[in-house]
Amino acid sequence: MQGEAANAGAAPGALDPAVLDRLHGLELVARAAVEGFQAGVHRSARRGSSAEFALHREYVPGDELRRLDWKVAARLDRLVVKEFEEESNLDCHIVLDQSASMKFGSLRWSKLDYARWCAAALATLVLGNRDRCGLVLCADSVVAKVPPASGAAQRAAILGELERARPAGPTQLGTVLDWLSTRLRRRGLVVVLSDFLDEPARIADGIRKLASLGHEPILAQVLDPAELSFDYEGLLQLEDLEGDARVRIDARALRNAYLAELEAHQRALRAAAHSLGLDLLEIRTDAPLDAVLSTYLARRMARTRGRR
Amino acid sequence: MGPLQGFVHPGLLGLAALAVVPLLIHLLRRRKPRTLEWGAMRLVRLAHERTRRRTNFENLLLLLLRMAAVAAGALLIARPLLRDDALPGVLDAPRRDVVLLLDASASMQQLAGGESAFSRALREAERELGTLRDERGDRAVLIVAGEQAQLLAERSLGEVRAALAGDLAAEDGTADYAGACALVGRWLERRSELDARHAPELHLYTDLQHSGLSTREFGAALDALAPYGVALQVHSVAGTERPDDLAVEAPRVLVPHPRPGVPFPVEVDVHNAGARPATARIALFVGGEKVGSEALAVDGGARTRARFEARVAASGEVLVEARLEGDAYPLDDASGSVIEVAAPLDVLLVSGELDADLERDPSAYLQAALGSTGGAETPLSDAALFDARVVGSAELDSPDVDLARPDVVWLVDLPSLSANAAARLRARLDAGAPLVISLGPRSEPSAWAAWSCAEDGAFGPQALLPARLDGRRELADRAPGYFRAATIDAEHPALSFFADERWRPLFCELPYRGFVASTPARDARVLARFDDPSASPLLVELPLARTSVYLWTSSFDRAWSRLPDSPRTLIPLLQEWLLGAADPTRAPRRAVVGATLFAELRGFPREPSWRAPDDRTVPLAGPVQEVAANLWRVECGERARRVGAWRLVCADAPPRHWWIELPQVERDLARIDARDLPLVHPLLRAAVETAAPDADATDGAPARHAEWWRLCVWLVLALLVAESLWAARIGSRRS
Repeated sequence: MQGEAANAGAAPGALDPAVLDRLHGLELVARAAVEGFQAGVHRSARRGSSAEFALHREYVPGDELRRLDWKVAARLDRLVVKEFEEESNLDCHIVLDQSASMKFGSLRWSKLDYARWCAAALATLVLGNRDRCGLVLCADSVVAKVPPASGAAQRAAILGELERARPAGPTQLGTVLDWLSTRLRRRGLVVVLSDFLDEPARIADGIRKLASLGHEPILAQVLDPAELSFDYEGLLQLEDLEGDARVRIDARALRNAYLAELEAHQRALRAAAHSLGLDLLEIRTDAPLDAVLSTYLARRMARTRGRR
Repeated sequence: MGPLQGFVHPGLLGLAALAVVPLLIHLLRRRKPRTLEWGAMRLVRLAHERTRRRTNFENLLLLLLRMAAVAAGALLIARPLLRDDALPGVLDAPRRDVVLLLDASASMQQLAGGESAFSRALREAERELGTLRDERGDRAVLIVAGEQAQLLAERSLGEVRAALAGDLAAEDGTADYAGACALVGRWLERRSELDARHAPELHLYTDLQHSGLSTREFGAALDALAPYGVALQVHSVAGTERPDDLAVEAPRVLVPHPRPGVPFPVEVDVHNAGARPATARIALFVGGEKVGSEALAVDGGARTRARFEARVAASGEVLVEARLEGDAYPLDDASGSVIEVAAPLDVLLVSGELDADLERDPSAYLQAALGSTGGAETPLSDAALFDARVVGSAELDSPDVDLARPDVVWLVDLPSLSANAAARLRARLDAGAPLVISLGPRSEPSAWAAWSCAEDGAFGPQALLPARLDGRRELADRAPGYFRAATIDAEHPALSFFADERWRPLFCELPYRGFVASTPARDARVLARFDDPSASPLLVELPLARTSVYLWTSSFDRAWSRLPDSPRTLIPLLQEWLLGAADPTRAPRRAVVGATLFAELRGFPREPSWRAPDDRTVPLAGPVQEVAANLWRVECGERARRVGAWRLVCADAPPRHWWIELPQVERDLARIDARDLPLVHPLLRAAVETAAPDADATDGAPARHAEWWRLCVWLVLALLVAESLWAARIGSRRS
């Protein structure tokens, strides 16, 4: 474990420019129709009637050809895309689980740290696309929230709230998602960042309720590599981060059973997500954050376009 | 009682407590586990619930296997015993306890076919030992009955084997059978109560020498073994017939005091202990030089005598040794005597009344007698033995007369003694120099009272006389009859010459007309008594710490005795008496095997060392000690256990010799018929030569106990294998 931590390199900062640079040009697209659009995909938001020209930018593969500014291209001898100032039609709610179990970390950073960086990157990405982004911090209930909005002030509010997040309390993600489904007025993306170590059925209930109300949940499960391998030796006294429970175990004797339980848990989660047609993004905290997000976002974009 | 009968080493069962060590390790490991805060506790609890019972069972089983392996190991070391029938033979076999007892007496050195009886005894014992098995738990004890019985090995068969293969040899002394039996008894005592339930096998390997086996001490020692229910199986290792054996006796010098340069005769007796006639050649060595040899023919059971003539050039002691050509029993083929070739003895005669006329001054007469030759009528040699001089009693007070120098001081018929002279003489006595006092008509008993012993017979610090003088007893000039010496102590060197019936009348028939009646001191020894009704003492000796004081209650002149007219009495008496008195501290120079040798030397010995007959240097028993004024004691560091000439060698003095001879019982090789052994003692049985006892052939034998060790070995191995397999299985499954 210590070796893995050492190989993991420096911790990806919350707003590491390198991370943001690698995410540049990617979008968090919605697969389903969201509030403010008749039909189609989230990219239609960029064609809103109140759109005003904002700037030119370099063409990147995947841009619609019809958005090319041919005049400028002919003058500059390079492909340039026109972009417009427009009001967002996408609400993105980032739900961050800050329960005590997120405190665990075999590396120099905890699961909560990693999830926080992930949330910050996504918020920056969403707000950078002039969409509305909100934040919900929860454990067994909602601890703090930043209602969805756009603009730089919103970004500062979200980042500030993320900075203040401290791991505490038990996980009751299902309850939180239940509550959230009753409070979200506009349909949108709901990105849930958690270790999902709660009862899978309860989590599935909450997600199902969100999905039934037209939201598109994205489940990002953040797990530490030690939780995935349980590569310990000798006698251990495990103390529950979310309670007073203590278990004295022989690590080698328990390992296989634990891994089996973990696999069953993951299977249940995957099954729940699959039944709703949702993404379950399994993230190891020793994986580079930019690679994880860029891979996922690119794949998601490609998938969305293919469907269209 | 169940099949388990106990343990050979019950004390080692305590090692079973080590079985808790795996448990302690387990508990210690559990006491301080590593603490880890864990998030996925729900999964851990589920896994734990599912595996806890199984893991606990596996760990418990592993722990029990380890504890059982340790406990079984302890059991193995403690060597449990089961009844013979408790286990099948494949698991164990009856155990044997065997005591091997070797006769290591001198007679075991007799040869037959170029091999000694002791070598055969060793071989027989090794053969018996070969029938024992380590793996069966058999035990053996080796006891060697030499001059002093020794338990040489008892721990393991290997130890006994090594002891038998070591440098064991028969000794030159007797066999301490009684001591050996005592050792057996102590060993039987030490055996556990369990072991005592079956009798061990006792084997004695001996030549069946009658004089060794039929002693009262041996019988008593065997009686002490009877309660243990043992029997001694006696193995004869030297045949049944008495062997042919010629033995030489100690050479006898036929003159009491050989003198330098004068030939003297020596006789040697040779005894044929066998039944058949034998011939042999005997040689005589004097001071290491061969002086002659003679061929002898000796009939069976008879004795013959060889006579040699020897000569010694200078004064001093010399070893006379007779050697017989070797036969089957070499130990009695040589014998020796140490003789003293004396230098003239310095005798100071103190006269009560100096007079050149021999008739009127007995001291002058004694001086003449001590300087005389014996002539052809006595067996004495011609050279002067004494250097006698006469001084007046008044000169005893003068410092010019050195009282420490003379070998003997003789007060001759002194009327009285001054206090100063008495003190000087007492100092001389205390220093270990002898004093002779002879009385006579001039001696006044009352004047000697101050120097006599006390009323209660104690020899006080100022006393000189070894008796209290009671008054003169004189016969009138014309009265009929005489006093004569009625009894003599012929054992004493002074009178030993007269022990021979030929010479006894010379002393006992000599007439005396007067003497001084006396009461001897408490520790005094009366060497001769008169035939008067009171059996009055004639010659009294009081042995002191380092010397003796003598009292002659009659006179040496014609006033009271006819000694001046009987030189054949006077000369040997004076010579034996004064020579013996001059060196009373001389230890006997002939002893039997086992004696402790020591010498007391005048003048500090430089670089003293003892030499054994094989010229081996024997260390001193301790530092040289001064036991009296200028008298030094040198003691040999070990007992003389070998027959032959032992020497004390000093850098500044000629060597002193001791002849160590074979004990009389070892000279007699007569044997007991093996069939008569039970008559000697009921516990003695003639060993029957049979095949080695078979472990399975125990039908009808007394109940024995089998050691359980083989089962224990299997048990420990099985537990260790099971523990290893189980640990490997758990390890592979959990990895």
